[in-house]
Amino acid sequence: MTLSTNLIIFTAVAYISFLFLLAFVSDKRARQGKDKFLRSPLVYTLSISVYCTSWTFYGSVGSAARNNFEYLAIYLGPTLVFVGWWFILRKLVRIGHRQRITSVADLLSSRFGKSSRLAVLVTFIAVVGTTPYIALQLKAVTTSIQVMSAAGVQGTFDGIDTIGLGFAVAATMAVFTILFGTRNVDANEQHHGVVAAIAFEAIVKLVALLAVGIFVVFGLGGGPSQIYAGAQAAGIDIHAGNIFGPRWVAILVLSAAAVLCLPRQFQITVVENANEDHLRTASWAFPVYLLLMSLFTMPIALYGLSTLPNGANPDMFVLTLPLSAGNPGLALFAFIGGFSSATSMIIVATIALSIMISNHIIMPIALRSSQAMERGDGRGVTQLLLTSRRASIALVLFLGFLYFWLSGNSDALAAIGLISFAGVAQFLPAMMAALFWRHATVNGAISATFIGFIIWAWTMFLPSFSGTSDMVAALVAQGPWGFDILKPQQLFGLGGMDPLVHSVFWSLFFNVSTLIIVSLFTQQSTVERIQAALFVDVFKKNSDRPPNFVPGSASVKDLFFITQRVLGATRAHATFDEFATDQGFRRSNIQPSSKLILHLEKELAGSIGAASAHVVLSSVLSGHEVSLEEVMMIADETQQAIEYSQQLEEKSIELETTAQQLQHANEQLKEHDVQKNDFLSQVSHEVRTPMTSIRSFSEILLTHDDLSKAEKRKFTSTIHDESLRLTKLLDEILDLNNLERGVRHWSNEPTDIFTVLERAIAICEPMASNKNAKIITNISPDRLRVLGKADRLTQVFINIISNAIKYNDTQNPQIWVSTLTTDEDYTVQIQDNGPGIAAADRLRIFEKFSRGRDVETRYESGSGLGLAISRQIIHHMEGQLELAQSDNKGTTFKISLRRVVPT
Amino acid sequence: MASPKKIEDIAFSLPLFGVILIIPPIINVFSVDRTIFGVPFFVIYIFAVWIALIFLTFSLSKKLPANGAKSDDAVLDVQVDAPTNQHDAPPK
Repeated sequence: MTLSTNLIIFTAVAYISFLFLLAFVSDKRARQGKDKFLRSPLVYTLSISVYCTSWTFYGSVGSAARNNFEYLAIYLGPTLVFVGWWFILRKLVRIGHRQRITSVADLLSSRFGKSSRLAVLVTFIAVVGTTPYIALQLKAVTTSIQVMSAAGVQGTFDGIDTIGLGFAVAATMAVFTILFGTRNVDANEQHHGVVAAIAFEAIVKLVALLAVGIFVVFGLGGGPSQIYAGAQAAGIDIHAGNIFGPRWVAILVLSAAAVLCLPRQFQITVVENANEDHLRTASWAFPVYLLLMSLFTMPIALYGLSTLPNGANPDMFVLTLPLSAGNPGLALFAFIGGFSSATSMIIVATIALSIMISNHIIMPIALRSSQAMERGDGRGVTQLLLTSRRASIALVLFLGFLYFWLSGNSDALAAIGLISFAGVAQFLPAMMAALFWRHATVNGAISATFIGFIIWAWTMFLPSFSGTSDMVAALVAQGPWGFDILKPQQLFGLGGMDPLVHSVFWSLFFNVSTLIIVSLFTQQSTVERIQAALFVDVFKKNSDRPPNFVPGSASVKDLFFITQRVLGATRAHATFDEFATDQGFRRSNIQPSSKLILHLEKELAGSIGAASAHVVLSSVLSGHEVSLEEVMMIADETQQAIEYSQQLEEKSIELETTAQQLQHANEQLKEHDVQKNDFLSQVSHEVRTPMTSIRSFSEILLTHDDLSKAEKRKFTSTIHDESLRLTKLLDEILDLNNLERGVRHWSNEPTDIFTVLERAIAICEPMASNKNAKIITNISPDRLRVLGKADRLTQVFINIISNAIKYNDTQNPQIWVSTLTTDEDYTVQIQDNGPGIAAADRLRIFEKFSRGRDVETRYESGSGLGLAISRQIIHHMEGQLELAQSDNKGTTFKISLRRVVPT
Repeated sequence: MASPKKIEDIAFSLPLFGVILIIPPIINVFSVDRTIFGVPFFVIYIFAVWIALIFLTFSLSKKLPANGAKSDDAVLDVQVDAPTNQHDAPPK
């Protein structure tokens, strides 16, 4: 098989046609909703590999040949960014979805108060940095065609020169990009057809490079060790030497920055992302891709250096090695791989740039001149948007071609990869501030990016022309007007450094310092503050809360009008319908609320960028008495309070409450502890007394054999009594304990109170007659029912009546038991004519172990738990036991119980 | 099993360790004039670090907590997305 130029060009054209077809079919499927595969993590990961352009496909071998293993840093930087995806990329993608970000310029402008100045600056830098890069791809394509055809038979296309080839490639790419990149201006700026094509090209370039690598290493070279041995034999130093110095670090930094900031990377990674979770796969799969891409680079370079004649262009080893080994088929495949790398970069970069140019430069101007706005058919802005998008694509590609044409065959392009990386790296400080630094201001971002750009242009971009322009060469050598201190590659006299390191250091140093210092000394506007909160706090749950501003007096009609003009009638209707459905009211009831405006602004931003959307809506809103800005100013306090202090406040209130609760619990615990201790000491005291007498009497019985029978009997009966008392005491303690804890097992039932009282009085009667006391009753004979337990209730009445008998030492003891009935309650009153309870004791008679004052009658008295138990019992019956009255003429207890009224 | 917070901390430190391992001075420790199977030692080292990073990122990506992107997005999507832009469910 021989390769003619015809064949090569035919292959390229066929390949491109296939891409068209692929993009077309994918787009169609996406439209029909059959886009499961297109929106898979695999396609996403593959499309991210647009990072690997022809500069890496061909150029990394060249770089390996010239600068040893330095090319690895180009791949390691992005690897590290993806390894740390959880912290930067995930946040970027989340913000991208939330804020409908359309480009890197849109991201920065949106975060910094929707500033159009910043958007224009970023767009400008992106164009300056990317155009030469596109030119580099054109050069790679034309050079590769030349290399391929130089090895083959002459064909009919031989008359075409490089410039013609470059133009043809640029024009074809323009057609492709316009066809598939601007089919519509759908909200998300997602291009399924393009992404499918890019993913496909990613596979082609990977397989092509691996094929060449395997062929060279194992087919020609006989394995890696052989290759390294051969290279050493050819006098090439295969060891690292001193490559791991500042330049290595600088390239790592640049490549890491590039994978975040390059417009095409941002487009694919953030804007075209269909699902945040795809990053989870890309986080490891993209590094795998990069690793595979770089696996064979060095062996190819070494084999080329050691076998091909001196002077062979190492940038083209990927093609020339298979060719010289007589394998044109593989060479053609490699050519297609390189072609894929070049075209995918051109397509995505052009789309990304065209979105930026049309959204941030053309649209704001067009909207201000407002001619398009005055077309009433609702298609004005949509049409304008598409036209400007298409014009931008053509413009970008033409600029790329122009650069390629003018730079001619010089080597100026070879270094453009890193130069371009360093250019877009100037976005990095502002981007990081956008994600993580709440107080960065728009002035800080603009001045930082601008200064970084100027220094980059002076120290890196400009010197790249010194090969083509004598004037530039002189400038680089002597400094402007002989100012040594401003020499582009020895700025401020800082010499002895690698030019790349020099430029990266100074530009990023000034960039970051300016960002910090200016941000510290300038104020944020209201919009900025709101946006900053939305960006920095994107992962906080409530960061979606819209700022509570009142939208002035714009009518829904105005808002609809403006939406229709930008999005077209169909989508405007859909947008409003959707909003109405969401908010749960009818379309006709939509109010011009802040929510609506926010909704519209986001929707418009998806089409024309945040800054433009803001301008458009402001133009509607500011015609009225209260402008959006002003209202937001008014709402600012609230907003600020909400955003900054609410959480803090919540936290501190929460803490305070917890502390109070803890303190309260602690006090209760202490109290309980004291009570428990008291109770224990009382119990031991109570137990001690009978125990002591039991002990002493039994000792007497044991030691004195000469006791009379009567004495023995007396002592034994005392012991018996004391034991009984002790048992009773322990029973009561247990009872009380059960009562205090056993609320759960307590169940009340309707109880016949009359029977209970009768029984209690009957039991107390013998005791009363024993003391000559009289129990006088005045009990309602009705068979009423109360809530309670008959046994327990009897226990309570016996306790109180027997107390009344026991402590009554008057001549003529009398106890009155009477009842009183109301609708809900049944009250039993037990009154005596005894000595009364001492005033000091009245408050504590219901406490455990408290007794009446009379110490001498102690032996007669109970454990001191009776009233405490009674009160617990009545409490469980939802009733009340209280001391109604007590003086030296008698005491009255009242027991109120809840009646059970038959229903 | 480490807590989600710990997993996040690991995810945070992984790229930091990655950086430290491939910049001077550590990388110079491995940049010696020695070869393994004919391949320079430092090449083996770099690729080993690289593969280790990939492997660890792979295992972490399974363990890191779900983003909650779907639920959050779903709410947001209903609000602002045109019907043509409904996101698909993540592939299982």
